[in-house]
Amino acid sequence: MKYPTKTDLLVIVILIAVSLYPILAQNDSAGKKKLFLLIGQKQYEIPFKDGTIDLNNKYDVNMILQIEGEKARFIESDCPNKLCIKYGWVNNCGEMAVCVPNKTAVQIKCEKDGNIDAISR
Amino acid sequence: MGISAKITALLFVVLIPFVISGCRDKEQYNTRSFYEMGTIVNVTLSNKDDSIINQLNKRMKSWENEISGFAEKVNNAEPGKSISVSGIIYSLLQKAEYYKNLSNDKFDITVATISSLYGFPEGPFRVPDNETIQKNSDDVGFSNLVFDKKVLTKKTDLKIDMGAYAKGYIVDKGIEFLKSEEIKSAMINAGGDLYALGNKKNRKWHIAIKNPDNKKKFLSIIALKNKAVATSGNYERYFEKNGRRYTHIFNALTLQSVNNYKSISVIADTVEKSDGLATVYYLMNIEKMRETCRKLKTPLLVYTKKSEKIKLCGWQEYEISN
Repeated sequence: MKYPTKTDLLVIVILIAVSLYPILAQNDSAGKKKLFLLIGQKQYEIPFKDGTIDLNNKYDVNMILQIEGEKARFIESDCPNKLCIKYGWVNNCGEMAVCVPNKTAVQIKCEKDGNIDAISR
Repeated sequence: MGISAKITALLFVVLIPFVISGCRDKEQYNTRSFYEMGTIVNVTLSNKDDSIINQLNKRMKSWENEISGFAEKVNNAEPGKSISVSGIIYSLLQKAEYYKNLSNDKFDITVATISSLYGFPEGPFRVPDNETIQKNSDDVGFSNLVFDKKVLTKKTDLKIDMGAYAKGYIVDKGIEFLKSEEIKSAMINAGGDLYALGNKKNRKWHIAIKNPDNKKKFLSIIALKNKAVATSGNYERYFEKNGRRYTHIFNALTLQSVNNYKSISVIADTVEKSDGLATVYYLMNIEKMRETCRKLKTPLLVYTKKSEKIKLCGWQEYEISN
């Protein structure tokens, strides 16, 4: 019998593929997205559920948040300059729309550390 | 080689990556936020250092209160009245003088006398009439502030705003505090003006510079370790009236709001310097910027109104992607 046989080669290829899996899996994308409200010093996770949320009911700030798919934006706020509304949709890892007067922001965080740690603006 | 030897050898090959991934540092970083200095402050720390955040917040709040309290006192005081000066305030006043000289008098903290008529920094915004501007223009001028290490008086009815670099100064003091607590790795980001302390695990901190024209793209991505970066732009603190954009940056010589560039980002050793220089450079033309950044060794990225990127004084050396 001559080595390596076809079966040997097949086994080797499968084993190498299996062996590389843990490393490849770790570098795989940024993982699952999560949505957070940052109010004062507290943060609250909010499920991605299409619709609008009146933050006045639960968090005592006069703002309305809209969620659609895996993105969110402020559509109403009682702050003077409306920067949080002008920001528009928040949909990337680490991205946030901030309303400083109301000490409220909406942010998307991703399970695994992304490649970017902060944005200078 | 027998079959069992082959299988054993293969098993080793299979197991090595699992061992490597299992040995990877389980150290996690958390980002916590609070609102201070008119912006959101994000502090990223290793989970083992997480408990320091409340103390850091408290300290930053007290520095902020000291600085904004002083500015408020100055702005409400009658000319000639004495206002006491602390160590922190004195060093901020000295920096004001430094930036004024560096900019050939274009940068001046007393230009707030005029910019406040427009509603800056907080709004609501409006365009004042010429008469009002004229009436207040003679009050502007850093030389109308008389101060030493103990006391300050103003000669005219002026207002001051140290916002261009005070926020950076407070972040620097926050970093000093973290260092004094033996923290080796952290990032404090005050609304885009930030300091990267040490490495993040085994690599430098990666900072993206916002592209105001396209949220999905960045102007540049840089890697920093024990360095600061800050950005001044025309796209966040501004208002528009009759087709004109009024930014928060005013030239003290013309007393006009300037809209010279889309943004300027500066890398320096402290956030106070990055922050202050981003504003000072914003008031300069490209040639003057080039000359000044060579002297100060502060790399910078200019994003022009024509959406061109101009990299000066070694910005590229920090870039990992553009």
